[in-house]
Amino acid sequence: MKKLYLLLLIVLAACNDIPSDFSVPKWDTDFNLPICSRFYYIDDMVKLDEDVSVDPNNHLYIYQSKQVDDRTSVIKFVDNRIDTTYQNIEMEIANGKGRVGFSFPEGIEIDSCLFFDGNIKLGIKSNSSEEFTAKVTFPTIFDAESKKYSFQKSISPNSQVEQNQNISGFSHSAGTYPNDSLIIEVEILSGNAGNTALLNLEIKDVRFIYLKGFVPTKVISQVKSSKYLPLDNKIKEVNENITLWEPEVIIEANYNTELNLQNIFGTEVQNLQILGKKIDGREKFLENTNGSSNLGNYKLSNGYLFEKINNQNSKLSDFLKFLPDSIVLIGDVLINPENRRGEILRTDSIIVSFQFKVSSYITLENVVLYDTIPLELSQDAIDHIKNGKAAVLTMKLENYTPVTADINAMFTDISKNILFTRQYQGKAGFIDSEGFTNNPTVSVTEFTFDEKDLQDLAKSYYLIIESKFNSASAPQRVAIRNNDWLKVTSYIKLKYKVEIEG
Amino acid sequence: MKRTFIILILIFAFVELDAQYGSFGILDAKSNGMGGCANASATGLLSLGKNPAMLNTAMDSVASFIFMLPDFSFQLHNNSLSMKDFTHYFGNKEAKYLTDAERDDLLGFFKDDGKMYYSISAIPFAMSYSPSKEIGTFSFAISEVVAGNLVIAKDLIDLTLSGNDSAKVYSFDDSDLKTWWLRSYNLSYARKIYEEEKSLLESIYAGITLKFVTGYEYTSIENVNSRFHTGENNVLTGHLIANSLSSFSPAFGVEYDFDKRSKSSNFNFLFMEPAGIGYGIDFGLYSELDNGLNIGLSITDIGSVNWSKETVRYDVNSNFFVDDILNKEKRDSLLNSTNTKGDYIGSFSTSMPTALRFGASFDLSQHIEDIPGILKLALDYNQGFNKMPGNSTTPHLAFGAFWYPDFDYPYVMTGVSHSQTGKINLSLGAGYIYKFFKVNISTYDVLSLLSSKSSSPNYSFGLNLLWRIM
Repeated sequence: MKKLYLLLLIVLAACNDIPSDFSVPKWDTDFNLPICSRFYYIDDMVKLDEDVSVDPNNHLYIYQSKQVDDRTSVIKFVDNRIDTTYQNIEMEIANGKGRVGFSFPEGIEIDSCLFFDGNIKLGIKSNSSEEFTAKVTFPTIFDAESKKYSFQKSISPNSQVEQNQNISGFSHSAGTYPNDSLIIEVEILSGNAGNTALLNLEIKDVRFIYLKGFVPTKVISQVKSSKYLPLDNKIKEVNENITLWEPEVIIEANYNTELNLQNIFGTEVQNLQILGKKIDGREKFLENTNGSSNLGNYKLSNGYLFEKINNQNSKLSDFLKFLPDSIVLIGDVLINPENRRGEILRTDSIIVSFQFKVSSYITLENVVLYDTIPLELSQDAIDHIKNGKAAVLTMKLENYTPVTADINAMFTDISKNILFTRQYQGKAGFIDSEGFTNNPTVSVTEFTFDEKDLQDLAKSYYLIIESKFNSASAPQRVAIRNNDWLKVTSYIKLKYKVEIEG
Repeated sequence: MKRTFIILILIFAFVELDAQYGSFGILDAKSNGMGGCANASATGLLSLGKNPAMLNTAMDSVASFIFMLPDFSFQLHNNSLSMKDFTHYFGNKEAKYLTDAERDDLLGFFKDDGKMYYSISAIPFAMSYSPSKEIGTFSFAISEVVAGNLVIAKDLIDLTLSGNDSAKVYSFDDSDLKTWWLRSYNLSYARKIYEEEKSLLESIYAGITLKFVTGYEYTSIENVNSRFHTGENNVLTGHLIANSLSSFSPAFGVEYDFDKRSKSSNFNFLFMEPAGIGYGIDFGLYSELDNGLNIGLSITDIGSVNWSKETVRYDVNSNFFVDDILNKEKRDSLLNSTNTKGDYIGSFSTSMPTALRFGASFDLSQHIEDIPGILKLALDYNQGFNKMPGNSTTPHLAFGAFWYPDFDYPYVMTGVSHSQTGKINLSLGAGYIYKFFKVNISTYDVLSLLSSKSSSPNYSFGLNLLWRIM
């Protein structure tokens, strides 16, 4: 029986070893986790639109602004230019007939024309003490039915009559008459008109449908078209650090007419200027190689002008360092610069347009951008970070772009006091003499975080990233192409305190 | 009256426990003390579940009427932590923050898969009646068993404690879980079928047990197929395929995430609606030779349980590839890899823990007169045919001894065997026969009791009280 008791005692003693409390221990574990593995084609990051395209031959990006048109009606070159007034012009009357020529202003010569509208008002003042009847004829003016324009008037002694005629639809043909004047012929049909009469003539509001002849040169309008450039606000802050190579401003002008272009008066865009404007009000003119903001005069040939303004004839790259928000084209449109004979239709117009074009040849020199990112860590995330004991974060960048990035990541509190920082450099890919990337570089950096860093990370409110970009290492002119790429791989070895609740 | 009260207390204390069979199944206290030897050494009511032929053996073959109240045993085997180690790591009021060395030491306990086998059994009621030697013995017993096999894959423990090593492939395929709660109503009969005095083969006994089984819980995790790999740049890849089956008595009121109905628990130990119904049968033969050698052979628990209530299947079938944890879709592929999808299913069957049992016992004291009293040696070999709780396809071998030096004193048992975890156990037990009752008390692994830092961290205890009415 004693042995039985002994066995019972042993069993009871063993039961004493059974713990009265129970809890799952905590421990530190090393987790190897991937953070990210991302492959970026530059093409994925650049949004193509109607202004941005890719040159299929060399994969360069082309920014070509949509053509900005400024349409000017040319007819204002002749409209109202023959408006004039003559007072008390004496007309001799011999054998019952008289004739007077009224010269067009500015030496204008009209071989023929078709009037759109206008008025001719003729006044006849009698010097005779007798009444007479006269027929007045405009031998070069034809009414809408192609009949010579004429009218009859009976004039009382020493009195005056007037004839006001709307000449809409009328035409003019000089024929054998002088083309620099409006001819008026008077025939006395009855009565005695005496030897002279006084004529008043008013040509007013005359506009043309068609005109052929000579009209002296005139500036008819000023071109002023502007184009907003789609620059990111961050990019705008780094002017003077970005050089855009091979930019072009293409100016194009077209004279549109149904006439034979050989016979038109001709056009010239004069005193061309290109003005860059920033939203804050700053302005900068594009200068030619001589330092003048007047880029010169550009004459249309056969009604067409195509002109490129680039670094060969201007300081365009320097101008673009200004990174204007918009570009304004300013110039005068001059008609008949050679003062020659010509013809014009009411529907004639000149379209002056310009385009801004730049390819992705660039130089970046210490282009610094700042980005402040609110971390907005959830309490759950903060708790997890606090459980971190140490970490080694490996960043591996395979860079097939020609841009070197030096990144300073600053973790700050809510007052933007820096808690800790980490620096990283991603070297540019290898580039050839053309500035094209031909081989990737691989940059591997390990960031070590101790427990204090991780506790600071848990307290971080902002991540401020200071990124400094340089094109290659010189820096030098490089080409950004749509098939350039980046591969970012990041992984972490995290020493983490495992706590199992419950 | 007081004794009766204590007995009743013990009964009700153990009625939530039940008995389990199988090649490594829990045994009565006497067999437990003999290292698990029972197939040719456990007699009378103690032979239930092992070899029914021995219900009617020499010791008890005279007219008798015996109760066994109560019978209780439990075993807990694991291949890792001793109680001292367990207390060190888990027995703290506040969670212990392990040093790296302590963490590595903890991992060192799991050089193999973490295996834990438990079984708690009780026979709330058993009786046998032997009207005469010729008619044989009848018995009726109710047994309860709650048992489980839990195997946690070594790689899962490694991953949890040490984290994921780069370039290493982790597999959790060895993970396994099977638990159940069965109640068995056993009707047995045994009798001597051959007798020839003064011959080598003196007698042969045969026995049979018919079982009606009610199941109240079954849970298993099956078909685990998994891979977790940390590759270059810490890229995580892998897959997890597994499914679980379960069935609970509606009385538990188990609620599932896919079934929004509210269920109430109306747990009633005695009269709960079972989740499964099964039938089983045991056959056994036992022979006695004239040289003191006894041989037993049986096959137990042929049959199955059909689970039909609250039958639920959960499946997980996921692949993950995470090279960018900042990418939500990829991150979720990992985080959601353990998401399961469950639904009610139709009924399913599980096998009973069928096992072939062979045993031999030898009465050494018949041949060596200097040995006081009775000294019997025993050998058991069990071969399970499945891996249901308590059973294993790994053979179970045990050696045991029973010494009853003087009928006025207690007898002692000891034995050596290996547990399901593969550890070697040294068993010890004692018993006492006093007129109308017999008590056995034992432990399957005395080393774990004597030394809490034992390399064989098993915990077991058995107690039988047999009351002989006539």
